[in-house]
Amino acid sequence: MGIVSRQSERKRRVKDRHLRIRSILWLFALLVAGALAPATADAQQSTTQKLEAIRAQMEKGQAFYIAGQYEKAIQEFDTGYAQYKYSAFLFNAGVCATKLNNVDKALEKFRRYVQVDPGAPDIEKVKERIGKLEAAKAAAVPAPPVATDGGIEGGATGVEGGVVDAGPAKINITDQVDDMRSLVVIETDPTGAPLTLFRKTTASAPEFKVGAANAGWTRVTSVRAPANVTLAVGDYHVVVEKFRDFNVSSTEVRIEPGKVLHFKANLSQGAFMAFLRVSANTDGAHIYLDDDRKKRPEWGRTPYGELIPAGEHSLLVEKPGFQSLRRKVMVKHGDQTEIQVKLERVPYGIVRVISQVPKFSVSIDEEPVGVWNNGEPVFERQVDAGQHKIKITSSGRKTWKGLIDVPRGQVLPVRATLIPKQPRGGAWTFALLSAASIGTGVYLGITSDDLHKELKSDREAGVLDQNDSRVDKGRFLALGADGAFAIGGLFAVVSAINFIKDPLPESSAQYDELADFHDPLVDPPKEQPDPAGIRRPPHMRGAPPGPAAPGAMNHVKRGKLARKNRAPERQKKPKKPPRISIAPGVSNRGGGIVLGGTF
Amino acid sequence: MKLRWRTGFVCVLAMTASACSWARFDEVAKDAPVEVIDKPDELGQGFGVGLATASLADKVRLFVGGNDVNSPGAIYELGTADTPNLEPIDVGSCDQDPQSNPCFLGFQVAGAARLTGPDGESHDLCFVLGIGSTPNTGDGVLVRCEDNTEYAMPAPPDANDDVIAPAIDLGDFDRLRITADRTPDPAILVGAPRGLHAWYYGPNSLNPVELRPGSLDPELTYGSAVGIALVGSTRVLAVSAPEAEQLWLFRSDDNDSAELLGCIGGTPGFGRAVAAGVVNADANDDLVVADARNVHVFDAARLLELEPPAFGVTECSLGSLPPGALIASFGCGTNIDTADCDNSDFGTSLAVGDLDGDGDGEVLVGAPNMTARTQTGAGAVLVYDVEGERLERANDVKFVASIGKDDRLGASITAPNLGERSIIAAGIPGDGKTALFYCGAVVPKEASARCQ
Repeated sequence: MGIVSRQSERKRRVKDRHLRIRSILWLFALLVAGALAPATADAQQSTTQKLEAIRAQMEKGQAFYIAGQYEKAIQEFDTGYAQYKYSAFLFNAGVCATKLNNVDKALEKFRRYVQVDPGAPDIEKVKERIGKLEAAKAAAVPAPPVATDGGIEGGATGVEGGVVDAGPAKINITDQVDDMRSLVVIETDPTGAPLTLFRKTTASAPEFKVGAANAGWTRVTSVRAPANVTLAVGDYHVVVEKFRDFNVSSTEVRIEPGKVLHFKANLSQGAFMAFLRVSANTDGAHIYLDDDRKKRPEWGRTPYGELIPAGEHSLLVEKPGFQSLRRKVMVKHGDQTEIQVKLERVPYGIVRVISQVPKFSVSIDEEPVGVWNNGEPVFERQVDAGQHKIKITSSGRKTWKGLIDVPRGQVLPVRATLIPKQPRGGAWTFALLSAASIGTGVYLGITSDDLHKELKSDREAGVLDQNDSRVDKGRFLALGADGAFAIGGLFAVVSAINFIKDPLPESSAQYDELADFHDPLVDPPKEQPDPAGIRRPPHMRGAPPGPAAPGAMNHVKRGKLARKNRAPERQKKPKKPPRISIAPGVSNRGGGIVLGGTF
Repeated sequence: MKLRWRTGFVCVLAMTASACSWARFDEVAKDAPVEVIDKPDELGQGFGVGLATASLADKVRLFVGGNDVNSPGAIYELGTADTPNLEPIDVGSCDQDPQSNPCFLGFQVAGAARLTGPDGESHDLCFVLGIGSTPNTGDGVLVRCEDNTEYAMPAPPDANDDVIAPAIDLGDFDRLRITADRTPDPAILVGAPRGLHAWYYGPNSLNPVELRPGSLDPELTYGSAVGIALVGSTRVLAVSAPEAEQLWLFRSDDNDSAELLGCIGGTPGFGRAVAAGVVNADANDDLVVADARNVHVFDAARLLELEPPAFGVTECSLGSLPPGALIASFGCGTNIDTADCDNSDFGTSLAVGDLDGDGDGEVLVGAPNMTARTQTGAGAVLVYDVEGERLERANDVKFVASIGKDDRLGASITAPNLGERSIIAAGIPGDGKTALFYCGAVVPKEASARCQ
């Protein structure tokens, strides 16, 4: 073996060491903000969600502790323990009871701690603490004991005049915030790997090295993953012992008070991981990580966090109704990075029109934007945000006009109730009769007038005789004309009344609550028809994920294009032969002769 | 544009509405300028074939005759005002039973203010009707007066034998043409065209004077039309023989005689109708004669200057007329309302009446076959005014506004004198009516309320 061989051996060792180091994938899973604190633990919760809940409960109690509200802190810790049987809650509750000089409760909590977690790294210290508390309690009841050692001081203030006053136990323990315990959950993949935790006991101790003497470091406990360990504040080193074919790996961990920490060692992965959490001003936004073209399923929906490889990542956040946001993010190994993005709404909205009529037309700002027929998808049109005039018409119905304020990136549902128009058949009939009568009157009047002129001319010529038949004829025509005018006028009045009279209310509309744009990734397509018999548009039924997903808006018809895309062919109804009926009719709408029929 | 359309529409409506008041027809027909006498139900066909008037004081009687024996006439009281009684005051004149009390109504009937009967009494408002017979007076020319007096004026012996007797005895009657002058006690002139006789009764006389022409073709008629023109106290008697184109003129200066004046004529149908009256400015009557196409007005005074034709001369002409005898001649004319003069029978009937009350008369010419207002045969009466010695244009055309086809207005004409003026009475035999024209172009509007 020459120099070259030795150099190669050294390189191989270095490489092996690096590989060993890289093979340890320590996953920081912690502090998922905004997590829920459920009243009842759900067995179905994922580990992450569960830990989030534990963490929230722990931090709540910790916050009360820092604020000096020990009673409330105890309540929170007790609640946490009731839901999640982690001994850290018991210890912290005991610390709070100690702060309150409630020896009994403190004893209860610590004894319970020892009972449920006999292998805790600090079990001896806790027992010692129990001893102090018991001593303090014993000294406080019969005679004030004086304890100067062990940090416990009796509750008596002294003896004077042979009279001894019994008082509450004086606990000579000065817990600080750092005395609070944290819960550390350690997992490995695969599970079952042996773990050893070391604590840095000397501040100047050198960096921990696996297999070295490691002066200044003290072994705390050895467990197998997964493990829940209650640890005091401090610097620790977690060593995953050799397990199966996996090499030893380790990492440093700093424990802060009142926290819940989640460690996961992915023994099979060769990259360091970081935790990235993305939240936005709107929940449910789709997050695509390193997938600008959205060729893979979404990474998550805001708010969402997950361990990711350290390094630079591209982030795409989008949601229907909002403008897409792209940004680069750099995460480092072990970092907990939280990205808060603000999505801007698109500058347009959607007007959704719903009515009870089988067919209606919609105009916006005096421009026709479409016709909806029964059986077609719900009528929706994309409109620039802001105020617009809208008009909804339907044959035989009163037109409704209104002013709408279209929101940015949201759907404005307009529910129009179009009232039938007052039937005008009778009015038209009377109008026609009136016109006919007046026309007849005009004709008769003109004829009568001509006759009168002739007669007058004949009279002036001296040839008119009193028996001239034209006199009677003219008189008859004049009477007929007057009668026709009278009847025509009467018909006209009746017609006008029937035209004006309208007992029905005007059409109306109401605006439903604003809705977000449809998200096809959230609401997948439903193949079954709508129970109401209304086919929803594709984007209402959902659309396949991918590049087109945010384009749910693409399904919204726009102007002429929308009309061209007007859909589904309608079945032709069999033609009915025209039928006309004329019948007298009287109702609260009016009276007269009603001309009706089907054409 | 729209405003104009609306304004126009409103105007049309208002105009039409205002025009259709029926009351205006009552107004326009009230006191119409023409009154029409309808045929009484009792009478038969041809009502209006013959007309005659008899006026006395404020009584103005109009006799309207029918066609023949089966269509006797009726008498109406017109009064001097403009309000005639259109109901007959006497129906059945000359309606006697042809067997027991025959009466054959003349084609032309004469009216007289007064006539002296066989009883020597003067009877008012009489009409000389035609051939008849009364039990008291026997056969002759029947007269019926207001007082229901009826008598027969005897005919000359030859005429009695040729005309009266055949009618009375055999029913073979000749429709007489009878006329009277315009005096209150008029002379009567009778023509019997088939019997070729004409005779004359002087005022208050029942003595017939046979009027014989100088020569006469027995195959033709004589007496088809008769007329009496007054020139001073002299009467010019005109008897026509239109088929011979002759009008024989006689003069009578007393009640019992007449002498032949002469003969005029020479144009086809000359003398088919004859009338007399004051036409020009002088106070004498003028003679109006129609031929087949024209109407001529002769100054009767000048006609007295005629000389009898030489014996044996049978042709008459207007060439022998004394200077100034022919006042005017005029033919048919049309206006916007009338047409077809050629077939109008212009001159079938004639009358002279002072329609405008200016003292001289207007010539009334009947054209019963004229087309009036597109009605063929509706008939018309044309009015001509002669001022001084000059003929004015045809001043007026009269017809009934409600005229119908073949009414034959103007088949007979007379001019009842209402005192201040005359009116036109025209028979409408085709429709069984008679029209009274109170107004016209020549009549001042103030003459009557009807003319306002």
